[in-house]
Amino acid sequence: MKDSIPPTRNWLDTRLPFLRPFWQHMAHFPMPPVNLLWTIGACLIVAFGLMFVSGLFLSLHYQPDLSLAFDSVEAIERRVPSGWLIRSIHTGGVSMLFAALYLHVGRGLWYGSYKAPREIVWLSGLLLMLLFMTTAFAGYVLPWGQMSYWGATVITHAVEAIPGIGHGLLVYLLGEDTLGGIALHRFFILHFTLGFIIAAIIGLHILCLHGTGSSNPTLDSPHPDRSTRPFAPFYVVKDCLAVCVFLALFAVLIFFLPELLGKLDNIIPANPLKTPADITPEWYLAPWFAMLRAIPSRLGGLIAAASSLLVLFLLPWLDRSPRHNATYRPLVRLGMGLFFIAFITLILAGMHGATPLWVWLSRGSMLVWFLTFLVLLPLAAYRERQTRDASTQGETP
Amino acid sequence: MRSCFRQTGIAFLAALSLTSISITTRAESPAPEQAPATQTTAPTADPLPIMRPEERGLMIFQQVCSSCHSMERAHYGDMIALQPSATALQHWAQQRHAGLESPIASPYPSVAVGKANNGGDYPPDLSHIARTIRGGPDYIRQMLAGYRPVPPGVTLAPNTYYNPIALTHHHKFKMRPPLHEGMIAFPDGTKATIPQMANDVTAFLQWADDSHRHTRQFIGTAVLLYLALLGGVLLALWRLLKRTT
Ligand code: HEM
Repeated sequence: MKDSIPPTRNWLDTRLPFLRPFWQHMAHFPMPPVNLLWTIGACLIVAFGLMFVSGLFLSLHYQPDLSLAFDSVEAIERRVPSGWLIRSIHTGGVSMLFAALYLHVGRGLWYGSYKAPREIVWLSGLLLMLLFMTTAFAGYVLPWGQMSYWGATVITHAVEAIPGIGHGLLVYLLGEDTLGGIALHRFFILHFTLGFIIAAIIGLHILCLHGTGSSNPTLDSPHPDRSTRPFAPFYVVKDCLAVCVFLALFAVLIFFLPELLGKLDNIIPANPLKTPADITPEWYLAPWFAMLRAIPSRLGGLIAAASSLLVLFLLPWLDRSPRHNATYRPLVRLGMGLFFIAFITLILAGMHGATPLWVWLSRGSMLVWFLTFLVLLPLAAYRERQTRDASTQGETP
Repeated sequence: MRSCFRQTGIAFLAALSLTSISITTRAESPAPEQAPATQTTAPTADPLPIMRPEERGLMIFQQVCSSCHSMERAHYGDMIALQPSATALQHWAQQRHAGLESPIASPYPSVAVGKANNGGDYPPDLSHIARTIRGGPDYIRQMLAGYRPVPPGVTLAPNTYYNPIALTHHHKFKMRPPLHEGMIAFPDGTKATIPQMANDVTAFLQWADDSHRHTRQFIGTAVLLYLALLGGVLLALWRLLKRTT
């Protein structure tokens, strides 16, 4: 009886023999002495999980039809048991997710997480960010309120600025001349499908991270700490603690400050004949809306907004210094600090009207954005590589 | 290390089991905001039913407001939370040629008729008025009790009423004064004064805009307490692990 199963082994482990090594890997995964900013990844997993599950429940009741969409959302709020709760998790979750996402990316920028050997982790993360932005935009159209309709109209018409093919492309994408029932149905399918695609890419992102391990923020400091701890139990508990705080903030937002979410205009059904007083995007897309508005030419605005994202993809190659942590790179520290201020300014600019003050602040912020990444970072990296002798730190070979 | 791992596991299980306690709440009675003292009539033999302001507000909406305004986003049946008798709701709906599952539609066959009947202004839908109108519930409460005699020197067009609180047309308001002293007999004995009714119907409009407010705050408190407890346990565990691993 060669096949007999040793009674000490777990039933599942015998049948899925990779489970044990997998859990071993997760439990023993060596973690450098990272700080609290490294817990945001775990918060993001939880935030996405909540979005995914609440989204599935919403899609059971939502109707992607021009005449039914708005009422089906009201029905979820008023009549579906716990519908209001599930919907508030989903609408509040977007803001929580983007807040965590931008902090996570900010952590990566400050601590040079984008550098070798984590380029693929960084690129997969940026892909996730683009997908989230698309998903959030598509999702915002679905309730078919005034802001859904007019926001989507403004943004889809940015496509028209592409020379030559712009208008044709727009009509092709919308399925008809204007934003209507066909487009709504497409937005729903896009929104629904992207959830699953994102889930897969999150898996890839974490898989890539487990190839190289988390980076060590102390390596560039005068007193590098090369000690590691296994992921379990210390970092499991630390991540859970951070998730707990994250969920508490989440709860305060959706249970006690619901008026911060959702614009008043969106509880009015979409009316293609009546433009709302001011069309403003949600805060998490506001920076790019501000960029579109800051450039007088529509095509120019589109190019600027797209390049601001593309330049992030190039970071691993723009900054090739062996040093990671901006805390110990004076020039980079300045640049990243200015960039964070510029980013917040762009959020505010996008949420305010296009007054000359905000337009000029947007232009200044865009300048900071591009100068930091295209000039300052390569320059700092060049100088640091010249004085390489002094820095054998970092982990780049 | 093993035992710490087990501890973590136990903390997790405890957390999970707590989550499965289901929370069932019925919206508790909110304190009426600046409600005029509830006066009761002479005591009768039967104990009077206790009514929440929004329940009295529903009565006012049914008997007064809904003769001009719609509340399209809500169905007649949604009012079951304020009027537990389905038969009474059914009766109300049938009077308006509708069923429990129909939206509370405008009584006017068209916008033009609605305007013609109201001095040129269409009575707006009330589904979310408490949130969308400038000034919110406070405005509604004051406006409803804000009708005044026409001051000397002001002339009003026909079907126009003087209301210094109202937002439109420089106090020359197109809604005829909806509330009159004693127009409704509330089963709980509350005297139907104009400020009382303005307060109650405002509470109803707030409820219609956001029916889950009280449940939401209750669940929110429970969730936060639970997270505080869980966070405390995790914090203790984390500090323990910091020393021992
Ligand atoms: C929902 C989206 C995302 C999820 C669920 C996610 C998840 C994670 C997790 C669990 C970690 C390990 C823990 C940590 O370092 O915080 C991590 C690390 C990382 N993520 Fe993400 N991430 C997401 C989006 C992004 C984005 C948008 C970027 C960048 C553009 C990014 C870049 C990185 C990098 C570079 C690391 C390695 C950090 C280091 O060790 O220095 N991630 N991510």
